Amino acid sequence: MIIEIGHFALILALIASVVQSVFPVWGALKNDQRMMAVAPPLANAQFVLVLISFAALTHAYLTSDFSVLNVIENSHSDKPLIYKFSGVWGNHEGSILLWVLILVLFGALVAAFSRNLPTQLRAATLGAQGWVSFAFLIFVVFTSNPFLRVAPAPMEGRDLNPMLQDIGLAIHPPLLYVGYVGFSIVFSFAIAALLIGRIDAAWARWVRPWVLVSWIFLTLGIAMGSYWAYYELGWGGWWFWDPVENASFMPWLTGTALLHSAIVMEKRDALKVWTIFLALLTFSLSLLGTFLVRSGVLTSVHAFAVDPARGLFILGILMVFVGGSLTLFAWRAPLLKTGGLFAPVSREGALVLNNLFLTTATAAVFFGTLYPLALEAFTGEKISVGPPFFNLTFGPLMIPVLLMMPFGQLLAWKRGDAWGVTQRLTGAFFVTLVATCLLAWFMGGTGILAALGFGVSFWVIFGSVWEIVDRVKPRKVGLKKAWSRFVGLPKTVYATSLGHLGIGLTALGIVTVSAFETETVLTMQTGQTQQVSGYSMTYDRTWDQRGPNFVERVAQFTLRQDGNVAATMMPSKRVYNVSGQPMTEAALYTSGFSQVYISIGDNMDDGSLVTRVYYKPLITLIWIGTLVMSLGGFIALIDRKLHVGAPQPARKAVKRPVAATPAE
Amino acid sequence: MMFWIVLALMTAAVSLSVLVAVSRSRNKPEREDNDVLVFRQQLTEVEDDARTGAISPEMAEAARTEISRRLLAASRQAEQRAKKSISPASAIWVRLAIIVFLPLSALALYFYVGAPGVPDQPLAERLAQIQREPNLEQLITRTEEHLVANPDDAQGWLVLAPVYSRIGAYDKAQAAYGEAIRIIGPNPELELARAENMIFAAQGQISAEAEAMMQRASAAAPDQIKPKFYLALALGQRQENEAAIAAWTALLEEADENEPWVPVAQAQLNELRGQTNEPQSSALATAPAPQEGAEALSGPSAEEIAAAQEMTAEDRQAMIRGMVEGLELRLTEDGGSAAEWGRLVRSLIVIGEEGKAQEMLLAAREDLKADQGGLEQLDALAQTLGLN
Repeated sequence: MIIEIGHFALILALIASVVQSVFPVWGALKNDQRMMAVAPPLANAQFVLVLISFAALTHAYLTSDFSVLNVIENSHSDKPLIYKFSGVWGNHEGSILLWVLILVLFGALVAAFSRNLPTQLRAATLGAQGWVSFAFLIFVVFTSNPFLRVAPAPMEGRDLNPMLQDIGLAIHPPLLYVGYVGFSIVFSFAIAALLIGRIDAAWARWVRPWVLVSWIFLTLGIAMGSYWAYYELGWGGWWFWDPVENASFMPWLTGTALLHSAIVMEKRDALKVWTIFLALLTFSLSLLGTFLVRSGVLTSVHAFAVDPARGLFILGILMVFVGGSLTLFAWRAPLLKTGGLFAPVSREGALVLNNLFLTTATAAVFFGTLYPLALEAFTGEKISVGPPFFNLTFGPLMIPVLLMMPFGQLLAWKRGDAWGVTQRLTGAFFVTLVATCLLAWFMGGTGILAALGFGVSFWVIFGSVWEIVDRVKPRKVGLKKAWSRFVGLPKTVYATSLGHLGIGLTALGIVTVSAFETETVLTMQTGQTQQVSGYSMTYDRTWDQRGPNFVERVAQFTLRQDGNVAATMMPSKRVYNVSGQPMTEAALYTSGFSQVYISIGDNMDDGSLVTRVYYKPLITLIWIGTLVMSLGGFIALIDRKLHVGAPQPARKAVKRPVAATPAE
Repeated sequence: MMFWIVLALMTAAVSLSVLVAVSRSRNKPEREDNDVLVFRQQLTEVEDDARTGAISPEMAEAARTEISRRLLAASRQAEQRAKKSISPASAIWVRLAIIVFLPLSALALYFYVGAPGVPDQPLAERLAQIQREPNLEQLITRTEEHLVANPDDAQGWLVLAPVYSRIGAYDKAQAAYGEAIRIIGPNPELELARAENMIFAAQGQISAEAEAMMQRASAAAPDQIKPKFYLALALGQRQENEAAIAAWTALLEEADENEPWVPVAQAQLNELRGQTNEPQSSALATAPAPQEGAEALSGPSAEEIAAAQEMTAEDRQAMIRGMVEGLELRLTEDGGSAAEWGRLVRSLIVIGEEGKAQEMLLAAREDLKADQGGLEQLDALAQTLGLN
């Protein structure tokens, strides 16, 4: 009964989304209170209904109800409980249902937190949200329905892809989806502004929390996915420029641009049309990502099932939403008034430059990802655009962004003083120089590129906190006063500094790993000891053991540094009972920010074991950086103030009172 | 019933929440124009910042000027924006959509894609159901007692016969069918069922009596494949190879390749063509193992599930039986892993062959006696299934 109740709830939610798609928008256009009033209760109802249906599916997984086709195909009664749970979204149907659940959750949140919004904007936003949820609910019900039943029910299921039987599956997709789907709210706000034909003054203020939440989760989701791939795939890579990764990275780039342009819009009433455009673009890229991953265009661990009908359906959704929103934009954007003027050298100018580089970088990733697919679709020719393309296009585009970052933070709104800012950054420059030399010496690095990379990273790290130093001026006012000033700083200052600091840390991690990591492939006999990057590694023994739904061969290594045991590492190789699929489980040892990574291969005929050992200096900084970035975003999120960009008065205006005094 | 009440409650809750919101919405004008409000708030915040020293007095002054400029523009716009009136017709449309469209289309769509009333089937409950099987035995005993008192109750025999068949008591089943025929009179359908049970009871050997009944059944319903199948098998068992080959060929010509009995027939045919003079073993014993190696451990494939859904209950039983027997043959001859043995035992329980399951459990223990972990797995399984 529970399963069928869940199924009905899903269908009822679909019908509710139909009603929500029609009346609120109609009402907003005709300024009809009654029609607009249906939006909030319907948004809430959809959330409750989809939640019921998700809970019902979860119940079917937890109780191993093999009368549900989706459970047969993706579960097994021996599977550990946590994977029965996460397995709910470890497959196409379930993951789309999770997508929809988060979508309607956001809809309900907008309904709850937008009571002080103008009714028209609120209704039109929820109406546009209704369109998105209608599109995806109909997709779930007709092409990806997780509630289809089978009679008679078999006694066992076919188990979940072993690669997905990992704690990562419990964390990575929900995080990423909150990011993807959160941007749908921003999209709906933009559509609403276009429909009504007017942007309210506080539009950017209302959109800010949604942009921030989405951006934070997308950042964490991508980082988590990267770390998962790093330890699960068994060869120590953390970013592959794989189309699926790019699919999530593109909305992140435009989302980051949106985050910055929305600041300009909120504080200075400028860049309105551009911000609206970025909002449309970001969600369009989220949809593109969903299409690439879910359609089976790409074969990867993410493409659970290849089904052309589904691909076409998502392609249809993609075309309607992207095409429709861009048409609406072309038609209605001229109605929107542009506001606030600013000089080229100013905080706004710096942010425009940031947007320019970020969108260009998005374009580079976009072409690198889609060109091979398009070429294959039209000519049948297969080419692969690998990391070299991205490193050569994306890399150089990021360097000016990183170099400018500290300047942007210190420039004043409306009109800035480039030379003054340069002078104020002198201290940061010297600290960077010293840190770069020290690290280069410590790593024993000789490469000029690595040294430059260190330089740029440290520049961002020190430059981003320099704003705080510059405002607090500890040397001038003494520690006590400095502390009280530090505490009194606006939250936005912390947010900006932490966000940029995170970028710097990530960059430092990337540069160091790329330049100094080592990879050693060994064939080791039991008892043998090898030297690897300052560690001595002994292969102790190997044994077989049985897991809940797999058998594994575990190898034990002892890692010693200067004769002391640093760690006992146990990488393993598993074979899953049902699928017969082998998996490698790497072992990691973290020391400081660096890691030693061991993964084992097959036994050779003479009994020796193929062992891959990587030394990854400062690699954890890559993910620590993303955590710091997200923390910055979180601080910006809890700042509830309206922001006004206090402009630096023009010089004329400052002088006038002085000249006027003698007249008295 | 409970199910429909829950559905109705859910729908009513959604409709009510919307209707309440709609009737509460007065045609109140927007309180104050929102832009104006926002700029006012911004002004107060600038004052606060200036007072606490977060921004310099000059900056505050410049910000104030700029906001005031925006504020002026906003209030001018707000005056221009005339409030539009509302048509009473809109309420009718909204209510119609909520009260009629929402429940009806949800229900219609659910009937189209859903499986109304199909219960949940959690694995634990299904295993417990299997353990409660003694209840079935009690039922049988009660029916038997009833029939001793009323031996001419044909309905009773007809209820009992398929139950006997299901628990593997084929001899009793054929006898029960015999009783029913005695009371009702000769009936091709019942004779077919009786003959089939006789064959099962004789481990696949087809007696003259069974063959005669099959012939009558076939004559009564010439389209039916089952009697012809057994008749062909009988020819083979009597070494009438040419006739058997002809019968099998005729059967296979009309057959759809996907039907579950086709591989068995094909195997028979091949064996007969191979001109071995050995006596035919039972048809089931020569049925090919459905899958080989580790593959056999994977669950049924999507095609098999789809096929199972389209079959009649009888065919389905035959397919499952065929798969189980294939697995049994392979495991008893070549041995297998604990998981494979476990699967066999569990499957036997499901198709109602408890005795056989017990037997296979012993065979499994023998096969896996060197594998401590495997034995533990078997013990755990035996415990959940109520075997020893």
